[in-house]
Amino acid sequence: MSFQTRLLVALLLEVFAVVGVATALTLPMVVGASALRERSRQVRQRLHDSLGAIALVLGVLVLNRFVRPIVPELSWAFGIPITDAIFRVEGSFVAWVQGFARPWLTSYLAFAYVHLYVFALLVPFVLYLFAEDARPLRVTGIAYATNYGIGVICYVVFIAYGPRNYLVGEVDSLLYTTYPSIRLLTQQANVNTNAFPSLHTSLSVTVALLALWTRRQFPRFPIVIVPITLSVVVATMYLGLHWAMDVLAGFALAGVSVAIGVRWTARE
Amino acid sequence: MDAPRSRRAVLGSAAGATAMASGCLADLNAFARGQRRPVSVSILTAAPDTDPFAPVIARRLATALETAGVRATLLPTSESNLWREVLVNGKFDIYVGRHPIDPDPDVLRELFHSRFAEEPGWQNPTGVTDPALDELLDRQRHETGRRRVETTAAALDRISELGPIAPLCVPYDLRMQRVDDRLEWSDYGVRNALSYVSLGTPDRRQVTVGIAGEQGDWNLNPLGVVERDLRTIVDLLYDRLAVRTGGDLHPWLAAGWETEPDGGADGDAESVLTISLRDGATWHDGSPIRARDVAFTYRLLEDTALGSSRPPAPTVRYRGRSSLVRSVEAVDDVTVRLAVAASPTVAPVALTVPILPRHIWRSRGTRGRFTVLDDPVTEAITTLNETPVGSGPYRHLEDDRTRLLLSRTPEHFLEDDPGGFAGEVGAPDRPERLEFAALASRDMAREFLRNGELDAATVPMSPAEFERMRADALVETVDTRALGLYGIGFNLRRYPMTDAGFRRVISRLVDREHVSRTVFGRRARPTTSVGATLVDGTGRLRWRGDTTRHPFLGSDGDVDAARAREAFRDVGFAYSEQGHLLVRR
Repeated sequence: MSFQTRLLVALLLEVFAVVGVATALTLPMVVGASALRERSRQVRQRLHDSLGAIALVLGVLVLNRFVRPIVPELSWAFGIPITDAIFRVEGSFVAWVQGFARPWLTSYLAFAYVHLYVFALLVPFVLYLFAEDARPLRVTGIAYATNYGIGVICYVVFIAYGPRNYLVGEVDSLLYTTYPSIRLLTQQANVNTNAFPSLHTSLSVTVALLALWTRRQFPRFPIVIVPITLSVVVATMYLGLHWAMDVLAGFALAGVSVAIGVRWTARE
Repeated sequence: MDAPRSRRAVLGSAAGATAMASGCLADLNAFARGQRRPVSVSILTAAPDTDPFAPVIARRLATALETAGVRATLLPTSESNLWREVLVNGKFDIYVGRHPIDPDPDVLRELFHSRFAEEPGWQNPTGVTDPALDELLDRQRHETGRRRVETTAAALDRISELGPIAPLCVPYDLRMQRVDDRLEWSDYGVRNALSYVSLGTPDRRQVTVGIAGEQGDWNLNPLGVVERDLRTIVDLLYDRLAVRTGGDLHPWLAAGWETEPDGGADGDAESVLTISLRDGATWHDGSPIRARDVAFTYRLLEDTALGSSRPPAPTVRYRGRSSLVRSVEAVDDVTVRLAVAASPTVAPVALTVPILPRHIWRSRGTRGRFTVLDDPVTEAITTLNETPVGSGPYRHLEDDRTRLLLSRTPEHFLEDDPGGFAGEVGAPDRPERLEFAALASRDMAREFLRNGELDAATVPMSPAEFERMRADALVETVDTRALGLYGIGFNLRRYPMTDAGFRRVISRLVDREHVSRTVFGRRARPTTSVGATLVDGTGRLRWRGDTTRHPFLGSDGDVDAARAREAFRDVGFAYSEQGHLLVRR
């Protein structure tokens, strides 16, 4: 095993340890200790009822795994380079955001971008096992699949480099200059030309929208998730990885994905 | 104007036929009425993750062009994509990048001779065609001594006048290593395979070196368009008949050669090289290296399809050298006779190509894998050559996406002191294993040197990255002389890049001094000549370029809008009322 593979495995273990602990702390707080005990018997039923949606997400993820490697080449041949257009619209906004950089803020937002993001993504799947019915899980599955599906199509159609790869000298690659090893982790999923839209934004906003949608059942869920979502959104720009346009497109994609999920399950 | 759009235009050519006819008429009408349209150009460059310098220069150039009223679109891409577009597809307006330039002046023929204008590859990437230049480039290879130096200087002068490439800076290559590591590097330059062969280590241990590059498949094809760090690695795997240090060639896989002048047609000096191979040399798979492998290699370089296709498919590298060879013949198992269309001084340049095993490469003349929409080329050029069988001092052991592991070749001639240059250069205690780690970001080099995962790294560094590196007491850096230069390349097949005046003004929109100071942190030498790194045997060639020909149109890095516009007007361009530079068509 090469040293970079070894470091990657260590990083992955660390992230999942943090996410595991955070989930274990969040669950009793959001569901309530008694409800958690009461509903633990229905978990198997919930899983069974939402198998289709979970299979859909897994299917899209597996497909994604195979499609991603050919996206850059396909995109270069057929896609539209839009980085220049994005820059002409928003100028040096991201550089302005980076003007607020402080070491403690960089540490926090890097933590948000990596750890809190993974936590936000996984927590609905655990939390909604304790919901009153299977619909939240199904909506989550459909919304995630839509995010990835539309995301990958956008990555083929649009060639967009993030600000750190375009406004060289103006925008700093804060995440990678501060924590170089994090690149081992992020390069497993991120490709430089796939900045538009920001999937970090769209997926974390999706979770926030889901939390708001299920606020009657889980009133504390938005309180936990909305600050995390906002942190992730700010982090994408603060760390120099995304343009404001990517973030706006991420919000739109999240809205569309959740709407599709809600509509779809309403018909049943 | 931009590459992907024109590519789609090719796709839709059938549907566009009628539209084109009416477009022609509209053009003619516009021309008759003297109508012009604003010019826009795209600037292709590597993304900052792979190159810390070119994209910064490209972005400044884009800003300068906009100041001068030219709409400029910056197109960052991966390094391999950049070179594929420029060298293979020819789909670009302007690019900013680093050109590897071999030290012998004959490299100018490869880069600028019109006979290579239609070939894909490092040969003539800009598509320049100039009969006067062709004549000079052809002549220098038949000359020797002072006459060749004069002809080369005249050719450089002509190239500077035409400006197909606007040279900017000669960078220094950087090597970083841990202060406490007892590695003894010699002075061959970071990107020279000899620096690894001559590396002294305590107890011949494994040495891990970080190189720049996205993690992925390793392209180990000596004939492919490979990224620059991989070239060094490939040179460790594949021996050449002769290797170069400065202006001198030394026997390597060849035990030696004899050069005889051979009259030649039209009074041009030609030469015959009789080459004797080293006794008992073998390929990494154990089979013996024979003269017919050498003969085969030269035939393959000339036509990788080996006669099976029309037109022939020459290589994308080594074209200057392979085109010098008139004929090649294996006299016996260890003797090769090479007839070279060059003077006895120039002819041995042809010996500096990697020698390939016939039994592996002769089946690679078929059509290669299609990369999306590229010209079909042979497998010899497109193969990644995952399990390379060469004859070099190191052989391929294993790799994954993050690293490539080589080990010393026990049968290599360096293992039992061959004497001569090879004996001097090969360190007996060189590393038993060499591990190259692909680093996706340059700051990884700092972190991994710090925590001891890396022994050394050879990644280029922006001034900010360099300062962070220098702040670390555990790490030391060494600058070495680089071959090649950063420059702006123009596609001379596209208007208005066809216009020498247009190119000259663009060359003057970059403040070379300022770039070398601020972009390279002074670790580069400004230049206006593509000859800045050439070396010739006589040591007389000193062509650093004439800065009066490319004076910067501004001061301290900032372009003066009025002066830039005046310069464009001087070479025949006009401006719209809105201040856009106009072109006909």
